[in-house]
Amino acid sequence: MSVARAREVNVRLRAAGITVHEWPGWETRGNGQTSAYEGALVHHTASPFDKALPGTGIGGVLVNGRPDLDGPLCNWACNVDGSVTVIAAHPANHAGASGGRSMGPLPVTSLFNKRVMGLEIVYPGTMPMKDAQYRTALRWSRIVTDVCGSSNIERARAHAETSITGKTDPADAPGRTINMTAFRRAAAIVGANPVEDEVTAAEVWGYKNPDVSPIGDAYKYLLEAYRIAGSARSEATNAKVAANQANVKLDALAAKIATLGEQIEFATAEAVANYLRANPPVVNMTVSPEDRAAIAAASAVATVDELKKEGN
Amino acid sequence: MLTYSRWSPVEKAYEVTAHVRAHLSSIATPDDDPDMFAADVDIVVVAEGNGIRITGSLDREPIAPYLRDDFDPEDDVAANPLSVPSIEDRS
Repeated sequence: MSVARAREVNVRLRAAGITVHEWPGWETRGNGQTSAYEGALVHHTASPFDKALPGTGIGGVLVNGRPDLDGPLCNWACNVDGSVTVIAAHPANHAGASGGRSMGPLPVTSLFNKRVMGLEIVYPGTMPMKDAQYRTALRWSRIVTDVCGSSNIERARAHAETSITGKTDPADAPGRTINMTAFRRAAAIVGANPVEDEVTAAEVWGYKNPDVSPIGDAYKYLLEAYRIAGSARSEATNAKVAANQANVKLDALAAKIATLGEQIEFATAEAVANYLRANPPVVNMTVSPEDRAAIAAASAVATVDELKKEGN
Repeated sequence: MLTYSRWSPVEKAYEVTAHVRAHLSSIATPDDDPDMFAADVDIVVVAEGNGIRITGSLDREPIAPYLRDDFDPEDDVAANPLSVPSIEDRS
Protein backbone atom coordinates (compact mmCIF):
# COMPACT_ATOMS: atom_id res chain seq x y z
CA MET A 1 0.00 0.00 0.00
CA SER A 2 2.94 2.28 -0.34
CA VAL A 3 3.43 3.64 -3.82
CA ALA A 4 -0.07 4.96 -4.42
CA ARG A 5 -0.13 6.76 -1.09
CA ALA A 6 3.35 8.20 -1.45
CA ARG A 7 2.46 9.45 -4.92
CA GLU A 8 -0.67 11.07 -3.56
CA VAL A 9 1.34 12.76 -0.82
CA ASN A 10 3.67 14.15 -3.48
CA VAL A 11 0.73 15.38 -5.54
CA ARG A 12 -0.73 17.19 -2.56
CA LEU A 13 2.60 18.66 -1.53
CA ARG A 14 3.04 20.08 -5.01
CA ALA A 15 -0.52 21.38 -5.00
CA ALA A 16 0.35 23.22 -1.79
CA GLY A 17 3.24 24.92 -3.59
CA ILE A 18 6.01 22.78 -2.16
CA THR A 19 8.81 21.62 -4.43
CA VAL A 20 9.21 17.84 -4.38
CA HIS A 21 12.56 16.40 -5.46
CA GLU A 22 12.41 12.74 -6.38
CA TRP A 23 15.46 10.71 -5.40
CA PRO A 24 15.82 8.12 -8.16
CA GLY A 25 14.47 4.75 -7.11
CA TRP A 26 12.21 6.08 -4.37
CA GLU A 27 9.28 3.95 -5.49
CA THR A 28 11.22 0.73 -4.95
CA ARG A 29 13.12 1.74 -1.83
CA GLY A 30 12.32 0.50 1.67
CA ASN A 31 13.72 -1.42 4.62
CA GLY A 32 12.10 -4.72 3.67
CA GLN A 33 8.91 -4.40 5.67
CA THR A 34 5.48 -4.04 4.13
CA SER A 35 3.84 -0.73 4.89
CA ALA A 36 0.71 -0.32 6.94
CA TYR A 37 0.87 3.44 7.26
CA GLU A 38 -1.50 5.17 9.61
CA GLY A 39 0.38 8.24 10.71
CA ALA A 40 3.25 10.68 10.36
CA LEU A 41 6.43 11.08 12.37
CA VAL A 42 8.71 14.13 12.27
CA HIS A 43 12.42 14.12 13.14
CA HIS A 44 15.52 16.26 12.91
CA THR A 45 18.70 14.97 11.32
CA ALA A 46 21.06 16.53 13.89
CA SER A 47 23.17 17.69 10.94
CA PRO A 48 23.82 21.14 9.46
CA PHE A 49 21.09 22.93 7.51
CA ASP A 50 21.23 21.43 4.05
CA LYS A 51 19.34 19.90 1.17
CA ALA A 52 19.12 16.12 0.96
CA LEU A 53 19.78 15.76 -2.73
CA PRO A 54 21.90 13.31 -4.73
CA GLY A 55 25.56 14.15 -4.18
CA THR A 56 25.11 15.56 -0.68
CA GLY A 57 26.43 13.83 2.42
CA ILE A 58 23.21 13.96 4.36
CA GLY A 59 21.25 12.77 1.35
CA GLY A 60 23.50 9.74 1.00
CA VAL A 61 23.09 8.84 4.67
CA LEU A 62 19.30 9.12 4.55
CA VAL A 63 19.14 6.89 1.49
CA ASN A 64 21.87 4.36 2.22
CA GLY A 65 22.07 4.40 6.00
CA ARG A 66 25.10 4.10 8.24
CA PRO A 67 27.53 1.23 8.76
CA ASP A 68 25.44 -0.05 11.67
CA LEU A 69 22.02 0.83 10.27
CA ASP A 70 20.72 0.08 6.82
CA GLY A 71 18.85 2.72 4.86
CA PRO A 72 16.55 4.22 4.01
CA LEU A 73 16.33 6.30 7.18
CA CYS A 74 13.20 8.25 6.25
CA ASN A 75 10.50 8.53 3.62
CA TRP A 76 10.89 12.26 2.97
CA ALA A 77 13.56 14.80 3.84
CA CYS A 78 12.62 18.42 4.47
CA ASN A 79 15.31 20.67 3.02
CA VAL A 80 16.59 24.01 4.26
CA ASP A 81 14.63 25.88 1.56
CA GLY A 82 11.35 24.21 2.46
CA SER A 83 11.43 21.79 -0.44
CA VAL A 84 11.22 18.07 0.20
CA THR A 85 13.03 15.09 -1.21
CA VAL A 86 11.05 11.89 -1.49
CA ILE A 87 13.43 9.08 -0.63
CA ALA A 88 11.38 5.95 -0.04
CA ALA A 89 7.79 4.93 -0.64
CA HIS A 90 8.17 1.86 1.55
CA PRO A 91 8.97 1.66 5.27
CA ALA A 92 12.19 3.27 6.43
CA ASN A 93 14.31 2.85 9.56
CA HIS A 94 13.41 6.00 11.44
CA ALA A 95 10.89 5.28 14.14
CA GLY A 96 12.26 2.39 16.23
CA ALA A 97 9.81 0.92 18.69
CA SER A 98 6.83 2.92 19.87
CA GLY A 99 5.36 3.34 23.32
CA GLY A 100 6.66 6.74 24.34
CA ARG A 101 5.10 9.46 26.45
CA SER A 102 2.49 10.70 23.95
CA MET A 103 1.31 8.23 21.34
CA GLY A 104 -2.05 9.77 20.55
CA PRO A 105 -4.06 7.21 18.57
CA LEU A 106 -0.95 5.54 17.15
CA PRO A 107 -0.20 1.97 18.20
CA VAL A 108 2.34 0.75 20.70
CA THR A 109 4.35 -1.74 18.71
CA SER A 110 7.80 -3.11 18.18
CA LEU A 111 7.33 -2.67 14.42
CA PHE A 112 6.56 1.04 14.31
CA ASN A 113 8.54 1.84 11.13
CA LYS A 114 5.90 0.22 8.93
CA ARG A 115 3.10 2.16 10.61
CA VAL A 116 4.30 5.73 10.10
CA MET A 117 5.75 7.75 7.26
CA GLY A 118 8.84 9.63 8.42
CA LEU A 119 10.01 13.16 7.66
CA GLU A 120 13.62 13.99 8.48
CA ILE A 121 13.98 17.77 8.73
CA VAL A 122 17.54 18.65 7.77
CA TYR A 123 18.74 20.91 10.58
CA PRO A 124 20.88 20.60 13.69
CA GLY A 125 18.11 20.36 16.27
CA THR A 126 20.04 22.70 18.57
CA MET A 127 18.21 25.73 17.23
CA PRO A 128 14.87 26.34 15.54
CA MET A 129 14.38 25.01 12.06
CA LYS A 130 13.88 27.53 9.26
CA ASP A 131 10.42 29.01 8.82
CA ALA A 132 10.21 27.39 5.40
CA GLN A 133 10.98 24.00 6.95
CA TYR A 134 8.36 24.53 9.64
CA ARG A 135 5.71 25.45 7.09
CA THR A 136 6.55 22.42 5.01
CA ALA A 137 6.53 20.12 8.05
CA LEU A 138 3.06 21.39 8.94
CA ARG A 139 1.73 20.74 5.48
CA TRP A 140 3.46 17.40 5.14
CA SER A 141 1.97 16.25 8.45
CA ARG A 142 -1.49 17.41 7.46
CA ILE A 143 -1.25 15.76 4.05
CA VAL A 144 0.11 12.45 5.33
CA THR A 145 -2.60 12.19 7.96
CA ASP A 146 -5.20 13.07 5.30
CA VAL A 147 -3.90 10.35 3.02
CA CYS A 148 -3.05 7.67 5.58
CA GLY A 149 -4.46 8.69 8.91
CA SER A 150 -8.20 9.26 8.51
CA SER A 151 -7.58 13.04 8.48
CA ASN A 152 -6.80 12.86 12.19
CA ILE A 153 -3.97 15.29 12.87
CA GLU A 154 -3.38 13.58 16.21
CA ARG A 155 -1.76 10.87 14.12
CA ALA A 156 1.11 13.28 13.44
CA ARG A 157 3.66 12.95 16.22
CA ALA A 158 7.22 13.89 17.01
CA HIS A 159 9.74 11.11 17.39
CA ALA A 160 10.25 12.46 20.89
CA GLU A 161 6.64 11.59 21.70
CA THR A 162 6.68 8.00 20.50
CA SER A 163 10.24 6.95 21.28
CA ILE A 164 10.89 4.62 24.18
CA THR A 165 14.55 5.66 24.39
CA GLY A 166 14.26 9.34 25.23
CA LYS A 167 14.62 10.89 21.79
CA THR A 168 14.04 14.66 21.67
CA ASP A 169 13.57 15.29 17.96
CA PRO A 170 12.54 17.55 16.41
CA ALA A 171 14.03 20.11 18.78
CA ASP A 172 14.49 23.88 18.76
CA ALA A 173 17.20 23.92 21.44
CA PRO A 174 19.46 21.25 22.89
CA GLY A 175 17.21 18.62 24.42
CA ARG A 176 14.01 20.65 23.96
CA THR A 177 11.37 19.29 21.60
CA ILE A 178 9.27 21.77 19.66
CA ASN A 179 5.75 22.42 20.95
CA MET A 180 3.91 19.60 19.23
CA THR A 181 0.49 20.57 20.55
CA ALA A 182 0.81 23.93 18.81
CA PHE A 183 2.31 22.17 15.80
CA ARG A 184 -0.66 19.84 15.39
CA ARG A 185 -3.23 22.58 15.90
CA ALA A 186 -1.51 24.76 13.34
CA ALA A 187 -1.19 21.83 10.95
CA ALA A 188 -4.89 21.13 11.27
CA ILE A 189 -5.69 24.72 10.31
CA VAL A 190 -3.16 25.70 7.71
CA GLY A 191 -1.43 22.51 6.79
CA ALA A 192 -3.33 21.84 3.58
CA ASN A 193 -3.53 25.41 2.37
CA PRO A 194 -1.25 26.76 -0.34
CA VAL A 195 2.11 28.04 0.80
CA GLU A 196 2.14 31.72 1.78
CA ASP A 197 5.60 33.06 1.29
CA GLU A 198 5.43 35.67 4.00
CA VAL A 199 4.00 33.47 6.73
CA THR A 200 6.46 32.84 9.53
CA ALA A 201 6.55 30.07 12.07
CA ALA A 202 5.49 32.56 14.72
CA GLU A 203 2.50 33.53 12.63
CA VAL A 204 1.54 29.92 12.12
CA TRP A 205 1.93 29.23 15.80
CA GLY A 206 0.27 32.26 17.10
CA TYR A 207 -1.01 35.08 14.98
CA LYS A 208 -3.30 33.01 12.83
CA ASN A 209 -4.38 30.90 15.74
CA PRO A 210 -3.99 33.06 18.83
CA ASP A 211 -6.15 30.86 21.01
CA VAL A 212 -3.91 27.87 20.79
CA SER A 213 -0.52 29.30 21.60
CA PRO A 214 0.93 31.64 24.20
CA ILE A 215 2.95 33.09 21.37
CA GLY A 216 -0.25 34.38 19.85
CA ASP A 217 -0.78 37.36 22.12
CA ALA A 218 2.89 38.22 22.23
CA TYR A 219 3.05 38.13 18.49
CA LYS A 220 0.01 40.33 18.12
CA TYR A 221 1.55 42.87 20.50
CA LEU A 222 4.77 42.68 18.55
CA LEU A 223 2.94 43.36 15.32
CA GLU A 224 1.13 46.28 16.93
CA ALA A 225 4.45 47.63 18.21
CA TYR A 226 5.89 47.31 14.73
CA ARG A 227 2.86 49.11 13.32
CA ILE A 228 3.16 51.96 15.84
CA ALA A 229 6.90 52.21 15.34
CA GLY A 230 6.40 52.30 11.61
CA SER A 231 3.78 55.01 11.92
CA ALA A 232 5.99 57.05 14.25
CA ARG A 233 8.92 56.63 11.92
CA SER A 234 6.80 57.81 9.01
CA GLU A 235 5.54 60.82 10.94
CA ALA A 236 9.06 61.69 12.05
CA THR A 237 10.22 61.57 8.45
CA ASN A 238 7.35 63.81 7.37
CA ALA A 239 8.17 66.26 10.17
CA LYS A 240 11.81 66.34 9.17
CA VAL A 241 10.89 67.04 5.56
CA ALA A 242 8.52 69.82 6.66
CA ALA A 243 11.21 71.33 8.89
CA ASN A 244 13.71 71.29 6.07
CA GLN A 245 11.20 72.97 3.77
CA ALA A 246 10.44 75.57 6.47
CA ASN A 247 14.14 76.24 6.94
CA VAL A 248 14.56 76.86 3.24
CA LYS A 249 11.61 79.26 3.27
CA LEU A 250 12.98 81.04 6.34
CA ASP A 251 16.39 81.48 4.72
CA ALA A 252 14.78 82.96 1.63
CA LEU A 253 12.61 85.22 3.74
CA ALA A 254 15.60 86.37 5.79
CA ALA A 255 17.48 87.22 2.61
CA LYS A 256 14.54 89.24 1.37
CA ILE A 257 14.28 91.06 4.68
CA ALA A 258 17.98 91.88 4.60
CA THR A 259 17.68 93.29 1.11
CA LEU A 260 14.56 95.17 2.03
CA GLY A 261 16.25 96.47 5.17
CA GLU A 262 19.11 97.86 3.17
CA GLN A 263 16.66 99.52 0.80
CA ILE A 264 14.72 100.93 3.74
CA GLU A 265 17.88 102.23 5.41
CA PHE A 266 19.00 103.94 2.22
CA ALA A 267 15.57 105.42 1.57
CA THR A 268 15.28 106.50 5.16
CA ALA A 269 18.68 108.15 5.18
CA GLU A 270 17.92 109.91 1.92
CA ALA A 271 14.54 111.05 3.19
CA VAL A 272 16.06 112.34 6.38
CA ALA A 273 18.73 114.22 4.46
CA ASN A 274 16.14 115.79 2.17
CA TYR A 275 14.04 116.78 5.15
CA LEU A 276 17.01 118.32 6.90
CA ARG A 277 17.94 120.17 3.79
CA ALA A 278 14.42 121.54 3.57
CA ASN A 279 14.09 122.14 7.27
CA PRO A 280 17.44 123.07 8.71
CA PRO A 281 17.40 122.56 12.45
CA VAL A 282 17.50 125.52 14.76
CA VAL A 283 19.94 124.80 17.47
CA ASN A 284 19.68 126.66 20.71
CA MET A 285 22.81 126.15 22.68
CA THR A 286 23.52 127.28 26.14
CA VAL A 287 27.15 128.28 26.34
CA SER A 288 28.94 128.86 29.56
CA PRO A 289 30.92 132.14 30.06
CA GLU A 290 34.14 130.24 30.00
CA ASP A 291 33.28 128.54 26.73
CA ARG A 292 32.09 131.84 25.30
CA ALA A 293 35.42 133.39 26.21
CA ALA A 294 37.34 130.49 24.75
CA ILE A 295 35.32 130.66 21.55
CA ALA A 296 35.91 134.42 21.34
CA ALA A 297 39.59 133.93 21.89
CA ALA A 298 39.79 131.26 19.24
CA SER A 299 37.81 133.46 16.87
CA ALA A 300 40.17 136.35 17.55
CA VAL A 301 43.18 134.17 16.85
CA ALA A 302 41.59 132.95 13.67
CA THR A 303 40.77 136.52 12.63
CA VAL A 304 44.38 137.61 13.25
CA ASP A 305 45.65 134.67 11.19
CA GLU A 306 43.29 135.62 8.39
CA LEU A 307 44.45 139.22 8.41
CA LYS A 308 48.05 138.12 8.29
CA LYS A 309 47.36 136.04 5.20
CA GLU A 310 45.58 138.93 3.51
CA GLY A 311 48.42 141.29 4.47
CA ASN A 312 50.93 138.91 2.86
CA MET B 1 23.12 -10.40 6.13
CA LEU B 2 20.73 -7.99 7.77
CA THR B 3 21.91 -5.54 10.42
CA TYR B 4 19.96 -3.12 12.53
CA SER B 5 21.15 -0.92 15.40
CA ARG B 6 19.49 1.26 18.01
CA TRP B 7 20.82 3.33 20.88
CA SER B 8 19.10 2.86 24.22
CA PRO B 9 19.32 3.97 27.79
CA VAL B 10 20.32 1.08 29.98
CA GLU B 11 16.92 0.81 31.60
CA LYS B 12 15.29 0.22 28.20
CA ALA B 13 17.75 -2.45 27.07
CA TYR B 14 15.21 -5.28 27.20
CA GLU B 15 12.57 -3.48 25.13
CA VAL B 16 15.06 -2.23 22.57
CA THR B 17 16.67 -5.63 22.19
CA ALA B 18 13.24 -7.12 21.59
CA HIS B 19 12.58 -4.43 19.02
CA VAL B 20 15.84 -5.18 17.19
CA ARG B 21 15.03 -8.88 17.04
CA ALA B 22 11.45 -8.25 15.90
CA HIS B 23 12.53 -5.74 13.28
CA LEU B 24 15.06 -8.05 11.66
CA SER B 25 12.66 -11.00 11.76
CA SER B 26 9.95 -8.93 10.10
CA ILE B 27 12.26 -7.99 7.26
CA ALA B 28 13.17 -11.60 6.61
CA THR B 29 9.59 -12.86 6.45
CA PRO B 30 6.96 -12.24 3.77
CA ASP B 31 4.30 -11.22 6.24
CA ASP B 32 6.52 -9.16 8.55
CA ASP B 33 6.45 -11.81 11.25
CA PRO B 34 8.27 -10.36 14.27
CA ASP B 35 8.80 -13.75 15.90
CA MET B 36 9.82 -16.25 13.25
CA PHE B 37 13.53 -15.39 13.19
CA ALA B 38 13.78 -13.35 16.37
CA ALA B 39 15.75 -16.05 18.15
CA ASP B 40 18.24 -16.23 15.28
CA VAL B 41 19.31 -12.62 15.64
CA ASP B 42 22.81 -12.13 17.03
CA ILE B 43 22.93 -9.22 19.44
CA VAL B 44 26.01 -7.14 20.22
CA VAL B 45 25.84 -4.51 22.93
CA VAL B 46 28.44 -1.79 23.39
CA ALA B 47 28.50 1.23 25.67
CA GLU B 48 27.83 4.51 23.89
CA GLY B 49 27.45 7.86 25.56
CA ASN B 50 25.33 7.49 28.66
CA GLY B 51 23.62 4.39 27.29
CA ILE B 52 24.21 1.37 25.11
CA ARG B 53 24.08 0.60 21.42
CA ILE B 54 22.32 -2.62 20.56
CA THR B 55 23.17 -4.04 17.16
CA GLY B 56 21.50 -7.10 15.77
CA SER B 57 22.47 -9.15 12.75
CA LEU B 58 20.50 -11.85 11.03
CA ASP B 59 21.94 -14.13 8.39
CA ARG B 60 19.06 -13.77 5.97
CA GLU B 61 18.02 -11.43 3.18
CA PRO B 62 14.99 -9.17 2.90
CA ILE B 63 12.23 -10.65 0.78
CA ALA B 64 9.93 -7.69 0.23
CA PRO B 65 8.57 -7.72 -3.33
CA TYR B 66 9.55 -4.12 -3.93
CA LEU B 67 13.22 -4.96 -3.39
CA ARG B 68 13.26 -7.42 -6.27
CA ASP B 69 14.61 -6.30 -9.61
CA ASP B 70 11.38 -7.17 -11.39
CA PHE B 71 9.23 -5.04 -9.12
CA ASP B 72 6.93 -2.70 -11.01
CA PRO B 73 5.50 0.21 -8.99
CA GLU B 74 2.39 0.14 -11.17
CA ASP B 75 1.68 -3.39 -9.99
CA ASP B 76 1.91 -2.15 -6.42
CA VAL B 77 -0.49 0.70 -7.18
CA ALA B 78 -2.92 -1.68 -8.82
CA ALA B 79 -2.72 -4.10 -5.93
CA ASN B 80 -2.97 -1.40 -3.29
CA PRO B 81 -5.07 1.42 -4.64
CA LEU B 82 -5.48 4.67 -2.79
CA SER B 83 -8.08 4.40 -0.06
CA VAL B 84 -8.92 8.11 -0.08
CA PRO B 85 -10.01 10.28 -3.01
CA SER B 86 -7.09 11.76 -4.86
CA ILE B 87 -7.05 15.51 -5.24
CA GLU B 88 -6.28 14.91 -8.90
CA ASP B 89 -9.68 13.24 -9.27
CA ARG B 90 -11.40 16.24 -7.73
CA SER B 91 -9.89 18.71 -10.16
